[in-house]
Order: sequence, then structure tokens, then C-alpha cells
Amino acid sequence: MITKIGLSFHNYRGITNSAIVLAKKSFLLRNEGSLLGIFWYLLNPLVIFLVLLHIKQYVIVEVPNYPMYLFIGLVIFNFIKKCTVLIANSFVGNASFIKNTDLNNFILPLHRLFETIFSHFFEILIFIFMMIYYHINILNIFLYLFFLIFISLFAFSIGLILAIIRIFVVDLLDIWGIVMQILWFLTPIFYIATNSSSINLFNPFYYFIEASRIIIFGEGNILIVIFATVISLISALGSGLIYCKIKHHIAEFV
Amino acid sequence: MINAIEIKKLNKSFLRNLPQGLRCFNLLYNFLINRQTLNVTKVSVLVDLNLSIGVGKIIGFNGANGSGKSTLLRIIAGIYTFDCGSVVVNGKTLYLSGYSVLVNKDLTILENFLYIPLIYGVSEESIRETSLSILDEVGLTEHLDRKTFTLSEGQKARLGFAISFFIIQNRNPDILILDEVFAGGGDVEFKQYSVNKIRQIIKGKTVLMVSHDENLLLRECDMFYQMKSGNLTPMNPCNK
Repeated sequence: MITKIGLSFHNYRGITNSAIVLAKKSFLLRNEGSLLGIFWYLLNPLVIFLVLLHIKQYVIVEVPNYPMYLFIGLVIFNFIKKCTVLIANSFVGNASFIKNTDLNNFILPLHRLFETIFSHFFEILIFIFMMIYYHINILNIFLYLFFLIFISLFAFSIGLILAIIRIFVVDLLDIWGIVMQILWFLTPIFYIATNSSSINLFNPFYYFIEASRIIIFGEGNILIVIFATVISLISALGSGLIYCKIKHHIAEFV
Repeated sequence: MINAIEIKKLNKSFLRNLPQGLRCFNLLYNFLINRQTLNVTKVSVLVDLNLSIGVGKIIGFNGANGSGKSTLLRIIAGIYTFDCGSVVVNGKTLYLSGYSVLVNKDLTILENFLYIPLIYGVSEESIRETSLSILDEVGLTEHLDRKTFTLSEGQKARLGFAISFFIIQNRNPDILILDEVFAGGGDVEFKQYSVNKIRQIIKGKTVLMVSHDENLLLRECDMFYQMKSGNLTPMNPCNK
């Protein structure tokens, strides 16, 4: 291995700071000159939310505070989906950056995660308005913010694995799009999960969406929150091992 | 005395017919139906390369495209790995390849200057203090709010140079690796200006410089190597 004697810039703080700078810039650039600005981030979940709320008239869904239940499901699903897709492109889409700078390539997926978290804060504001409207304990939002670390860790890990495979397989995102479409229907976002649904046992999205609902509503099976936390830690460990194995070769392959 | 860079028996090969650009279903089909596995071959780029570079030396590399110059510099910078041999780098390195690599076309000149050095860990305070004077020196103060994609190639080169110069100044590396940085756009006057500025800033540093301009290497380097098929031939002495 290469031996370097002397100071190293690539410390963790440096990586995080650089990723935050990139994320802020991407976030501002994306909204610059747009009439809707930051509302773009809310437009997608809000439109689908209104459509599904309208459909609810024709089906029987016995859930208290259904609009809130639905909105949490939509937002968490979208958060993980957006995060994984953005991160999946972070190596291939920045080949020139990786090859021509000696900056740590971990900045690239990390800044995409931060960018997604920035936009998620606008959705959290709507969570808060809804919690006030439905008289739900507002302090639960702090527990949710803590749990967001684990949701982010899971989304980041899946995105990182996809980003590594994406270096070699060009149509990976097409396949991932199909997987997400299937998961959209398999995950209880706009309907209720029943205990007999065995599919949910193997669907990590289910745990994160359900755990977020449990935390925000302040009631439900705490085991689901624990499962979600364990899934996120396992996925972080797995993706970390894969990344460490390949990180020094990424510049050669992209 | 410790050398800045000590390379012994360095070997580097790249995979060819790499599984890049593969499609999932083609892979599955070939594997399941045709029983074909990936046939990956290796191409050697650097073979048993030895190189010692003393502290404070300015060393040039010249050679045809694909001869292995950039690969060697990227290995020294830690961007690429190597197959076998040893590479010892004593000090903090900074690798720059072209001036405009980091320039974001969607940002204005000022925004580019304010944010790219931040990624390199330069403090915001330091950037705000010196940004205008450097941009003034390269003649870009009149265009601060212009988006970079509206600039001419020459103006982009000036912006890229200003940013690179600022990063070098602030990161203060012990070993500076310049991979064809003088090859970009810009008129003769600007090229001379950029060489002079870089010359000022590299005093006392070890510099590795790749260029196709042999005259530049002869003028600026203590020694330069001709690279051919992964082997180095010293072209000594330079007319320094």
C-alpha cells in the first residue's frame, strides 16, 4: 500500500464539511430560478397525497388520522427512493471529479444524502402542522428526528451499494425503478398492514414506514422500531464493507 | 536525506474488457443460457518502474497519450492503487489536473470561486478575504455575476487558474502534482502569466509536472523524463 508520511487532509470532518458544501450548493442550484422553489420538494408527495385521499372515499380504510398516516407513508417512501436514486448516480455521474482530484470520493454519495435531508426538512414542517391539527404530542417529532438518522443510514447504505454496482451495470437504475414500483404497491403506504402479510416481513421499507408512524403517533409495536434500527445498522455494516473493499479502485473503473 | 518520493519496482495494470457498460439481463442470459463467464484481461501500464525524487525538485514528465504519465501521478496522489512494488510519499500532496475540471458551469464566476475551495477545506474567511484580488488579477472582476457556461474557453481557463492558484496557496502542499494544467485555453500572454505565478508559489516545494510542451519542461524543470510504454527515460539536463 501507499505510504504517506505527513498530514492528511482526508479526515472525517473534512469529508463531512466538503459534503455539506456540495449539498448546499446542489440544493440551492436546483431551486434557483424556479417559481415554485422549495415547494417542488413538497409537490410530488402532496399531489399523490391528495389523489389517494380522494380515492379513500371509494374504499374502506379504518385508520384513525388517515391523512397523517398516509402522508407519513408517502414521505418516508419518497425519502428512501430519492436518496437511493441520487446516491446511485454519484460515482458514475462524477467520473471527472473522481479521476482528476485527490479528494475523497466518499464526499459524492454523502453530499447527496445531505441534499435529500435538507429537502426532507420541509416535509417535517408539514408533519408538525398535521400533528398540531390532529392533537398529537408535538414532542414526538424530536424522537422522529432521532429515528431519521437510521432511515438515512439505511437509504444511504442501499444507495452506496447501488452506486458501486452502477459503475459496472449501466441499466441498474431501470431495474431499480421497477423494484421501487413493485415496493410502492407491496408496502402499506396507503392501505393498512395486516399481521398475516408475510411479504412485509421481508420488506425493509415496511419497517421504516411503520416505525416512523409508531414514533410520530406515539403508539404501536415498539419491536418494529427496533427491527428497523437493526436493519439500518446491518445495511450500514454491509455497505461499509463493500465500499471499503472497492473504494481505492473506483477512480480506475468509472 | 529522505526523498520526497521513492518508488521501487512499481507495477500497474488495468483490466480490459472490464465489466463496464454491462446490462443486467445480458449478463444473466450469457451466464445462464450460454454458460459464459466474464473474460477479463489485464494490460500492463507501468512495469517495474523505479523513481526517486528529492525534496524541492521540479520534475517533468512527457510522452505520448497512454504512455502512463497520468497513471503514475495518480498513483503518487493516492487516486489509483498499484499491483505491486512500493510507493513512499513523504508529505502532503495536491493533485491538479487541468484548471477547469472543478468549475461548475451552472454557477457564476464568484460562486465558483467561493465554493470550490471550500470543498478543498479552505476556510470561508480566507476565501472572502482574497477572492476579489485574485479574480481582479486574472481580469475577471467585470464578469463576477456571469454564469460560467457563458464564458469563453479562455475566460474559463482564467477562472480555473485563479481557483487552482488559490487552493495551492491555502492547502500549501509539500508535493504539488500538476497534470497538464498548462494545456487549457487562454492566450499566450495568460499562459506565461500562469507559469510565472505558479513558479512563485512552488518555491521550495517538490513539483511533478506533466506536459506535452517540451520547451516548458526544459525551461521549468530540474529534470524531465520521457515516458514510453510505462518506462521512464531521463532527459537530462534541463536548461534551467
